Amino acid sequence: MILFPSWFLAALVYGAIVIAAAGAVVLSTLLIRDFRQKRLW
Amino acid sequence: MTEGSAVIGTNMGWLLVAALGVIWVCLGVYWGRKAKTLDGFMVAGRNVGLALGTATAVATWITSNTTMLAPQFALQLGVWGIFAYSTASFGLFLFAPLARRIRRLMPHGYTSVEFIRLRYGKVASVIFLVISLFYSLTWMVSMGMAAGILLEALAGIPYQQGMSVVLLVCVLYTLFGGLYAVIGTDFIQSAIILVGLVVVAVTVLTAVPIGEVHANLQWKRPALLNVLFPAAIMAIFNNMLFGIGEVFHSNVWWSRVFAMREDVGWRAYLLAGLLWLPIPVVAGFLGLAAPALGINVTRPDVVGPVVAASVLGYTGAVLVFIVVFCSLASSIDSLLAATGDVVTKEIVAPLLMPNANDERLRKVAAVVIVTVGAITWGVCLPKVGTLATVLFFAGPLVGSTIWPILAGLYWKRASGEAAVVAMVLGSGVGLLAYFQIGWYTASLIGTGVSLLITVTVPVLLPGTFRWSQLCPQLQEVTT
Repeated sequence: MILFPSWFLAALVYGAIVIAAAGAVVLSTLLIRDFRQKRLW
Repeated sequence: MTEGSAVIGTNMGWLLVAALGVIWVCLGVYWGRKAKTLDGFMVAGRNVGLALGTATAVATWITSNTTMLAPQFALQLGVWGIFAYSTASFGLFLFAPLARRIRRLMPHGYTSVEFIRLRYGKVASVIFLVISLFYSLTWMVSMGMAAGILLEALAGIPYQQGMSVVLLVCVLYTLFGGLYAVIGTDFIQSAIILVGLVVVAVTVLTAVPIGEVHANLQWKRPALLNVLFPAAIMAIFNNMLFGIGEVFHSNVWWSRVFAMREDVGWRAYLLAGLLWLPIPVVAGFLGLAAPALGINVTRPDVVGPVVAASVLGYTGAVLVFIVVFCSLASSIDSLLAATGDVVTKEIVAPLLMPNANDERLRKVAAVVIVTVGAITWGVCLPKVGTLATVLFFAGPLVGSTIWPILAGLYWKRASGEAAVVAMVLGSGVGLLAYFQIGWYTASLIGTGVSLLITVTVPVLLPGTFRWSQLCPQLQEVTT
């Protein structure tokens, strides 16, 4: 049986955490930009 | 630790439900001031920007199934199971160009069923409507059930009470604020979910390093790390097609296209796909970490929250509870609004109130939302099966709509006859595969049959269509 190596699992999980954290920052930045430009809705 | 024991206590559970419920309803009333017209109520004034547009797509797609089923997938199908769930983001990515096309072809549109009716005719629209309503109800029931199950597992709130109060809160703020309230609360909910999941995952990793999780799996359950796991690899394609079918056909996503500014929709869906992609991986990791944490898994569908709560302690468990509540509300409100639009515009208005003006339809839409909520509550009252069973039963049905929608948007020769046969046979054969082979093949087979028919029938019997038929004000689109 060929198994996924430990480093692969680590890259997958840590990568996902970084993207999710960045996502929260991106959303907040976009909100501030749209609010300043009066383009929220 | 074993599952099933309440983590935060019933009193704290009720306190959180009450606090979050009051906040969402107050926001619904506040934003409801903008939702006085039919356009305001159903499509939030058609001027939603990138921040709110992206957040609403992310929040809606992060359902409680994401936080509950992704760990279950990981626990049953291993690393491939995590990938399988993540492929649902492909639906958002691939919908981006469609969003641009839809907004261009139907600048005054309201629902996906309206597109099928104008593009393929009445028979196709009735079949599509049945599939769409069945799917919406299935999704809502799975959310309602999840609400009851999770509130019971995390706070000891009895299933019926937890499920009822979550549905009631969502119905109330959607009723007051329409799509404005749904989109506004979605932003707050998506931010809470993203931050909450990151905090949970980092804390779990602090308690049990990834190397230890891997070593434990290698020792106790090596199949979960198997690179060649046939059922899991099959589940990737099945889940991807299910996700694409869900997004392509559901009015939840179409109504957002109509709500966003013309230049915003496609960018919002691309960005939303990217932001959603890591969520099942983070949630799924909780499932893989369960054996290393010594958790005795008797209920795979609540393993994620239980793992998080066992590591984070009381304060962390409160955070998990809030994240779960947000993921439930962000999907239920969207489904209520989108299903309400479809029923109002495609059933009540043409059949019962053909001469009703927009003001009257605005009131009808509110009544429909309450009715849809009540029906969902009635179906949820008895637990009708596991979440996976309920959800994946709809897979072949929505899978069969992918190609008729795609062809309908881009291919003039695509015909109503082909769309009808593709949806009926695709659904039928897919359901047969569901029962005879397994859930992980149903969407794949249903979509395949639908593709074959959607492409071959118009080649033999080509249809003729002018894009301007989708909107009287529209000039002919030549692309």
